[in-house]
Amino acid sequence: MGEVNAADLTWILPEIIVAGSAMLLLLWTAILRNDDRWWSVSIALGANATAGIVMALRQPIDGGALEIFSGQLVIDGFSTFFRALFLVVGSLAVLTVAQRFERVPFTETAATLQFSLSGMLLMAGAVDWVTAFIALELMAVPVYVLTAMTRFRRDSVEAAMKYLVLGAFATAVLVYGIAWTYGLTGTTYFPELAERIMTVGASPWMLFAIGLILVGFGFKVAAVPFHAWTPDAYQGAPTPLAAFISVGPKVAAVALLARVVGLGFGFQGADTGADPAVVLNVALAIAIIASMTMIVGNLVAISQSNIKRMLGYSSIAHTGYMLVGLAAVTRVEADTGFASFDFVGLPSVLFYGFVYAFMNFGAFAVAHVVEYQTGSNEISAFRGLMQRSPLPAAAMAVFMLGLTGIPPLTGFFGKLYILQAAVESDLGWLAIVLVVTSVVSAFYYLRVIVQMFMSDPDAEAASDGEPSAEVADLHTAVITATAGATLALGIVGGGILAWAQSSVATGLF
Amino acid sequence: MDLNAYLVVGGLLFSLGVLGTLLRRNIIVMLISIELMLNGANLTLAAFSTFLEDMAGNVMVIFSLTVAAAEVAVGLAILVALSRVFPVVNIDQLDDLRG
Amino acid sequence: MFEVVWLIPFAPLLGFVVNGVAGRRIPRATGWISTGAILGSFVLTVALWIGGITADQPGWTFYPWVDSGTFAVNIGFLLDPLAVVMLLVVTGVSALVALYSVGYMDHDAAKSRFHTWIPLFVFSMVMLVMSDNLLQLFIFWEMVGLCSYLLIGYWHDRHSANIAATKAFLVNRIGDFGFIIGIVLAFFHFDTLRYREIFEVIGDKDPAMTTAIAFLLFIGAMGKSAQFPLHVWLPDAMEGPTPVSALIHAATMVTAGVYIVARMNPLYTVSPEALIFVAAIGTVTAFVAATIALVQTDIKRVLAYSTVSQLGLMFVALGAGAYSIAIFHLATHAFFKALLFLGSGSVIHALNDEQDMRQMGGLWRKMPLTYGTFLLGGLALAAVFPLAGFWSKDEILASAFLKATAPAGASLAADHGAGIFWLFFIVGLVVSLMTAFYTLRMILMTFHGKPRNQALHDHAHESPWVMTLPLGILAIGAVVAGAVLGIPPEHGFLHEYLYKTAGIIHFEGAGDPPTVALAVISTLVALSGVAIAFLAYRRGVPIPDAARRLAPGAEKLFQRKWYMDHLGDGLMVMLTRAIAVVSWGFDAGVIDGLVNASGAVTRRLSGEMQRLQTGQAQNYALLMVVGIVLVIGGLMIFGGNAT
Repeated sequence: MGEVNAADLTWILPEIIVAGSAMLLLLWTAILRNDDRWWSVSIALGANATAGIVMALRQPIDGGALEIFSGQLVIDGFSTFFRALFLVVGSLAVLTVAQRFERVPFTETAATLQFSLSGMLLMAGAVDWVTAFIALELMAVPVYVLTAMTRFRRDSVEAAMKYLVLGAFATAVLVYGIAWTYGLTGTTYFPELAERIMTVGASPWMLFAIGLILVGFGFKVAAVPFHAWTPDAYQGAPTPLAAFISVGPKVAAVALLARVVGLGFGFQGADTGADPAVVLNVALAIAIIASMTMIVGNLVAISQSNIKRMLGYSSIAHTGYMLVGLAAVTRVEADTGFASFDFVGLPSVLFYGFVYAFMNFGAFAVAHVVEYQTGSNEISAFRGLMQRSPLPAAAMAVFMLGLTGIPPLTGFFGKLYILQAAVESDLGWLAIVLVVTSVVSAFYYLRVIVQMFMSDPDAEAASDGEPSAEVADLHTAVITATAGATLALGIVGGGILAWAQSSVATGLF
Repeated sequence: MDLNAYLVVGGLLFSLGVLGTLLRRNIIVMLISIELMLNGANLTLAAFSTFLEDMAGNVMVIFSLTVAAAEVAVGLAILVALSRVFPVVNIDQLDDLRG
Repeated sequence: MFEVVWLIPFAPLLGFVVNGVAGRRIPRATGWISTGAILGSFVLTVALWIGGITADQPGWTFYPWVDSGTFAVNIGFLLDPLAVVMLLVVTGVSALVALYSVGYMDHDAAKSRFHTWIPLFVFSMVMLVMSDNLLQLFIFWEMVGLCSYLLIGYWHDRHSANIAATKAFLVNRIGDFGFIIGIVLAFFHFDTLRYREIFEVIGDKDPAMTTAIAFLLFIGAMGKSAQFPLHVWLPDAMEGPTPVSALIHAATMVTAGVYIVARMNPLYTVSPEALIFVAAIGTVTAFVAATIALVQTDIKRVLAYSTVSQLGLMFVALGAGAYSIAIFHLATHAFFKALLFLGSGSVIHALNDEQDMRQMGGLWRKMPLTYGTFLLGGLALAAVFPLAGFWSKDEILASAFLKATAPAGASLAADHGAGIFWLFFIVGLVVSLMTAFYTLRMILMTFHGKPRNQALHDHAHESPWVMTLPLGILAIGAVVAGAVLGIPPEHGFLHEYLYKTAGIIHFEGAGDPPTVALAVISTLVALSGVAIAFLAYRRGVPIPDAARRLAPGAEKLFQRKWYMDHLGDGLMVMLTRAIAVVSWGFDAGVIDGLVNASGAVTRRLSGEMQRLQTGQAQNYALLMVVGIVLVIGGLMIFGGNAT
């Protein structure tokens, strides 16, 4: 353990700026007692932009991994990759919320979003249980508040209540797991963890502790059977915030889980200092959870008539895809058939998190537009959207096809890289589950497209009243940006993958 | 006393918390049960920390207590908001969102 | 010359963009823009072809798309004779269809949308054909599927159109499922997805795996080329506007399956099992579809099933290892099938969108141009000498015959299980007979006899020149294409050109088939089909009064003839009709049922699982606790063993 020095603070300037903007926004409402959207958006976006610039400028000189605060945090390629993504997602969320909806106080929403964002930023660099836990909760607690933001609507508060109770339950499980891991290994520092685990070996108590941690993370990433809160929370939460909740916290939790298993459990670099029994068993557990997650998420999504619930189940399925990448920890040499430890799936997980963020955020944003126009969250409200508002409809088609994984959209490459990793890692059965469930997913994604393109809006209009065709400028901007990213990533996806690979290569693992 | 005693008590607290969360329907009691789980975990952490003569565990306990307080504060706030739109005491009354 | 190949796909893409962006403002011009764009692509292709594309033409990388160390994919073009022939067919027929659509869609309010999708469809198909690797091919393979979905469902206020579009898409995805697995396996097996690199290493690799890949790719081809049992979408795809049907059936979509097998021919050549499977599926499809076509009354459905049947024959040729013959039939078929579809569109257009042949009859006077061209197309489909269909179909049968009689060890790389090709050959003859029969039946019911619906008949009129001009051009193709491209048999112009393509083997070494004898046999078969149809469906053609007066027995003769018709109906037709009804029932009941049942089971499962989501937070918590027990229990039970 080194000593803390003030220079370390400059490395977490992005987090400080973002959290500072959150406090500024809170003070703003407390002192000025107005809900000025223009200023709030400017502060939040300005803070995020500044944080991004600072982060880009302040990189470790040698491009490697820099540990700060006595090894509590690390600044490396991996954290930079995710911090950049989170800043973009957070900014998109601010923009989406900025369009006044219902009676939500905007400034407070923006402040809460910024708090959650600062937690996510910290999660990207956490390499110690203490920081990881704090960051996780700093991200999660504001999200409960965000879910309840429309506090005059019963479903919103109900969703928040359930989310909080189950979330706190999962947190307690996670802390208990951390306690046992700490007790058995005597360290909370991830890089030491893997070595100590090897010393302890795959004893029952060690596996007990690891199991508890997996469960805690299983909740945060919404893996089956810890997923049940997801559809309820997404449905109840205000739609623009559901967009954020379905992307930010989930990808952040996947990132932290990747760091925990990659570094703490020794998945990455397992050939040097980790217990193969632990690695293989944990990877197998993740693989089984991943298969259940893909199956349940995709199957149940078919029966949904509410777009937010459907996207909720679909996001569960996408968790499953990402977990497949996390389970790919061996490399089987094609010619010799010899298996060696190598976390081959890690770059594909980074890539998938990146592309998933844009597709899913955009899908929720369009759902919000439709909600705006029709007052309904039913999939049938998409009827005739193509005629009504072509841009959101076309964008939604891009998102749905992207989430299905139809080439050349970026979702296809996401799945392809994960598949590649699974096959290289001799997880053929898991790859098959992935492909089959992806085919199933076409059922429900296509249904939305069918509604938008094929159905005549006039058929329903007689009873429901004419839906407005209004699309707010901010929503247009968000939708265009996410759809553009989804399309562009399909074309320049190789660059992002290369970035993900170098992030892993230069990351602390 | 040896370490095992602390671990057993911690484990018992945690299990009681789990049972309470699963069985009691009152939302406040559920929150208390979750607190019990956290305290079981905290006790385990503190016991290990002392036994290992390493401060990290105790630090973790402090943070964990803080986080728990924040969680409960938000939980109670949500409960207040909930009771304004719907007179609710028990968690099983909350089943509008399902399927 | 070669530097401009990207213009071939770019032209239709430009048409798509222009129509997509500005189409609503200039709806009248959209059709011409789309025609011009596709025509431009055709002209460029012709220029390239004349400029001389040889087999050793280097591939051309347009854009290095993804390069992640082990995984590299380029957007690249490979132009060899096979691709050029396909391109000529695709762009040529598509240009004519686009021209025809200008007239056909003239009254449609949303025609700019139609003329937007058509060039995109052509663009996708062109990119598919020009691709130099499997992944690029797959992407445009999917794009083709997506465009067909949009075009089949073009009349989206028709419920049946939506259902048909969705069905086409979903059935295709079943095939694509096999296809993508095949591609992924191919990547791991060959370490590359580029055709040329695959073909180079194919000899060093495990043939069992190669066979598996060949099978999986063929499953994709079955979906796209509507092979049994994945053919169910194609007849329903009639719900789209008729030019779309012509496009799908002749040029853009269903040919993709044939193309991929021909393209990957080195894979199949080393996989005799896969080849026999291809031929068997082709035979079954050809037979089943032909029998179903016998009893259809919707003019487009007859044509749809005939396409399925003809595609089956192409796969028989592919299965026999006669890749060039399959492509030859693909080319001639494109001419006459596009012609028949556009002709039927002309009829439907004239009759206020009536598609039921029982409402037609006697149209030949009203629509002489349509009738003349349709008759030529029909006779070409029936494989009557010397029209296009005769030459190519005859060669398919010859290839099956040759394969069946091939001595072991001849230069035909795959001579396993040659005996089964006797069966394929005979079934092929039966299919020819049925083809001739239903084609003539269709022509007679539509154009001859008395008008069965006078109101519609009075409304009928000849179509405008933009519609009849493509018919005329296609009719010329339907008449001469076979002779120009295919004489002498097996060594025709087209064959010699295709033999330059890597891997397409010269169909020599097993000796030439007894060409003349086979040609005579198949001509006799086709003519007897024509004759039976003529006897059976001449009913209603009035016997001139003069004849009746001159020969008093004529009345009786007419009666007896009528009786004979019934005899014909009663024996020949009834028999085949029984087969047809059974196989149609099988089609609707079992195959559709299977497709639907898998959907229903999924839905049911989904509903059951949904009920787990009770809305009760404590149930969720219980679920989590169960999960905890399972995860920890699993880890502790199985975890110890590994150490």
